[in-house]
Amino acid sequence: MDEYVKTGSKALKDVFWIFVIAFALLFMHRRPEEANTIYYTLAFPVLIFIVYYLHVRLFPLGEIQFVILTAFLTEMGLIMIYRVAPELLVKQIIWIAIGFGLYFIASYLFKHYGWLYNLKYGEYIYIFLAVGLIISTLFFGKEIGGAKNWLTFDGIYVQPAEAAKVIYIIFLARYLKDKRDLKNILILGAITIGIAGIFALEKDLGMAFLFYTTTVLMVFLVTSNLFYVASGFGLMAIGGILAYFLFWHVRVRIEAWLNPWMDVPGKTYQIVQSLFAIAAGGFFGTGLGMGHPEYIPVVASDFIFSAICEEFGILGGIAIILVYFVIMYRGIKVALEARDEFGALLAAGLISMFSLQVFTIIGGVIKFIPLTGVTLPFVSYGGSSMVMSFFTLGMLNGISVGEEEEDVQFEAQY
Amino acid sequence: MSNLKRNIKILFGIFALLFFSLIAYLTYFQLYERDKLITSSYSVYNRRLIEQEKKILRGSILDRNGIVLAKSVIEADGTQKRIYLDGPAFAQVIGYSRRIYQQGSTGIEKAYDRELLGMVGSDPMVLLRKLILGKGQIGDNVYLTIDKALQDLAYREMEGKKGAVVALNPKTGEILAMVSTPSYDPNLLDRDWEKIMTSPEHVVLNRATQGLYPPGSTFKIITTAAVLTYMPELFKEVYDCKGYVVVDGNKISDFGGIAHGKENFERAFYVSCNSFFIEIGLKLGSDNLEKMAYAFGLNQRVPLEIDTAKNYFPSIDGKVALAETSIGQGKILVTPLTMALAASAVANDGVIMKPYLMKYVVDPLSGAVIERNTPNKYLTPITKEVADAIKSLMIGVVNNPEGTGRLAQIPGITVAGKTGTAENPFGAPHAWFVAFAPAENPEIAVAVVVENGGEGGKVAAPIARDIIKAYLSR
Repeated sequence: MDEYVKTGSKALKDVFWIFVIAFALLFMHRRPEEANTIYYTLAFPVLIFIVYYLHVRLFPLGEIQFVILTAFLTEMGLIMIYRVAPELLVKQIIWIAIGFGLYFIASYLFKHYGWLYNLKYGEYIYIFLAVGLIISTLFFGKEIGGAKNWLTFDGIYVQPAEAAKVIYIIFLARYLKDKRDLKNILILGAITIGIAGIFALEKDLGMAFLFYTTTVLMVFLVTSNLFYVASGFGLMAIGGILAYFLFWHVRVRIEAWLNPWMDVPGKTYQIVQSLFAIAAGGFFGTGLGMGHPEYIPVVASDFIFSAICEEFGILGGIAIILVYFVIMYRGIKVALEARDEFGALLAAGLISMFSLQVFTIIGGVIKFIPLTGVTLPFVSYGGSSMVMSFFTLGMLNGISVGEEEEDVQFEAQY
Repeated sequence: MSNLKRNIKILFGIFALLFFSLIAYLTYFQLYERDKLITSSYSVYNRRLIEQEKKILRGSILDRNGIVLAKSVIEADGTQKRIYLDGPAFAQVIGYSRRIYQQGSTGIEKAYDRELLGMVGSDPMVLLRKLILGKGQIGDNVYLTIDKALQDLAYREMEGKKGAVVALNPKTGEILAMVSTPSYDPNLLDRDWEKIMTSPEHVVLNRATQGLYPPGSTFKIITTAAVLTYMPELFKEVYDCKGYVVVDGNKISDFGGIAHGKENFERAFYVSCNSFFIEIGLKLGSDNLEKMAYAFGLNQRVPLEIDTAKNYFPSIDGKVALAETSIGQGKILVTPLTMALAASAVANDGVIMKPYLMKYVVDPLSGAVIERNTPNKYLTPITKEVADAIKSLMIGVVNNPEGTGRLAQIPGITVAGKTGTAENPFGAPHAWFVAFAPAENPEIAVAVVVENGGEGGKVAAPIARDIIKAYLSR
């Protein structure tokens, strides 16, 4: 245990020094316009240390790695955001603070997650909440960056789909815990296709892909039935082809992926600029402050990975991918060690959705797969994504802590 | 539950695979796609290059002996100005790089853009060293294979005419001179951009590599190569020339309607008798002629650092087309560079070397050579025996009292050549001459085209002679 904490604090020291050095350089490179910026920036390492200390205290058996790894990811995000859009830095730090708060709340809330399963009419409540959130933007939504997936409250922009992700996973876990026969799987299939369809109408292809694929993977987890998986992906392919011919925005995405050179000043501008940035970075990067990530459109949110690749090289990019890999690994471990099937499904669903999202956006900006606009969790600028990503890891931590504490009690009896 | 656990482990495997495929793709991208992306013509949309271009003093372009042809200087207002010291003579080969004005780039300036901007040392250690030594602000120098003295001579000879000259070393593929006229002064691009770009004489076009002309009788080199390779018995043919032949009711005349009388293959080649070669061509057949033309690359785009046009050689359809093709008329269109390479195949024992314009790229501060071109084979259309036989025919063209290329004679040097007088729909025939010398040990191969110049032997041959003479007496 002591060894464990020692390794953790050593990693955290590295995170701290990266932060100090990077921001010292950045502030010399571009002097902050307000003193506030400096105070908030200094608040970030303090926040991380408080969170770390609290985590060790409150959840000695918890997933402390989540804190260290997210500290690294959020700090990489902050560094790049200050590079490309300094005015967003303070907001992002506030979102991170709120995120950590939610992480703790989620950890307590889901330590005893049994109530989620026992809730009367639970699965109806979850699915109506999830679908309601997703549909809400169709009626009250605002179109930003080509997708109609935002709600505005008094100048604050919210992406309800981010919250819907978590609720939908709870629904899936609850549903699949008991309903695994063909009829119920077909009903679930219909629900999922409906949700993907709504997202397609909102032009949010990334979310459509995430919800659908996560469902297919979850069905596989409980049924081990490869036929379901095959038909799931087969239907996705058919849907993709239909969408290609029906929706102009789908066609543009796929064509831009197949041939990014067809219309560089227009339709494929984003992806080509992203590739230019990654190419400019090479293996070792141009160095912090030496590149031009600001040439990439929407760089602070969707394309932040390309910006990191430009200035830190793909070695920096690979480091980020490996951090996500470790988070994914810890999530899978939580699922494996969960004390019941519902907990295992919940954890597996959460980490699947999370990992798929990471794959979708990184794969998209490097042109490995067609580009769909989702955020890079913890790194991209954006409040909804940030707080819900923290909430997701908080839930995983809660599931893990609940399990471990039970073990400890069990051992204590003997 | 145990099934579920197994499946969760499979899930882990899937995600591990997905994440590592991202890493693999990124690595692949940097290793194989990156250079293509940076050098592609789409890089006009890459603002990084434009920014870099403004900050870096662009490297110089020099001839093979180190004489500066193009250099950049910093003006009083801090901006850069590109100076072309031998403007019109080199205008199309060197080209221009005007990305910062959103006007694109051409020629050597385009082909070696990254070198001239000092961006080739992408090795981080090289970059680090440059940074520490304060060398980041200057581009690398590009040395051409071209000899400025020869280029200037060729340009003087061509001034006032329309056409192109290509001279190259047949043993290595190094291009020694490449001139296209009429030309323009690239130093005036800032002021006269519109005028130069829209000039009715197409001054920006590099006629040596992008001009497409019917090869006329210079194509008889290829017809002869096909005869010697596929049907050597035809070489013994004897024929009585009446000054014209009738093929399927079409009368095709010799140049000026001259009847050459009784002739064997050698004499027909020296006097460039069309009737004879049409008869030979009809016996040779379309397939053999096409096969040999393809072997000489007449249906290809010649590989070169700067843009080249694709030669045009449609499949031969019918007797009339075959007759016309055997004497280099009909629908065939080739670039002067292609015909210079055809001559170099004869000069170099049947092997065409891949042509190139850049000798080496040097870091001006350390003097280190960063890139270097080495000779490579491009095509081997004929054997040494066939090459030697054609060579003696080409010597006859220049040295036989009846030869059409007598004006190319140089005292003390055996020149081998072939004239061409290419009929075309735009007026007087194009004058062609391809040659190499010294025939015993060729050092230079030349192709000259003068648009609507008239007879190749009278107009083009003297130009080639002067170039060969100047080069060999250097």
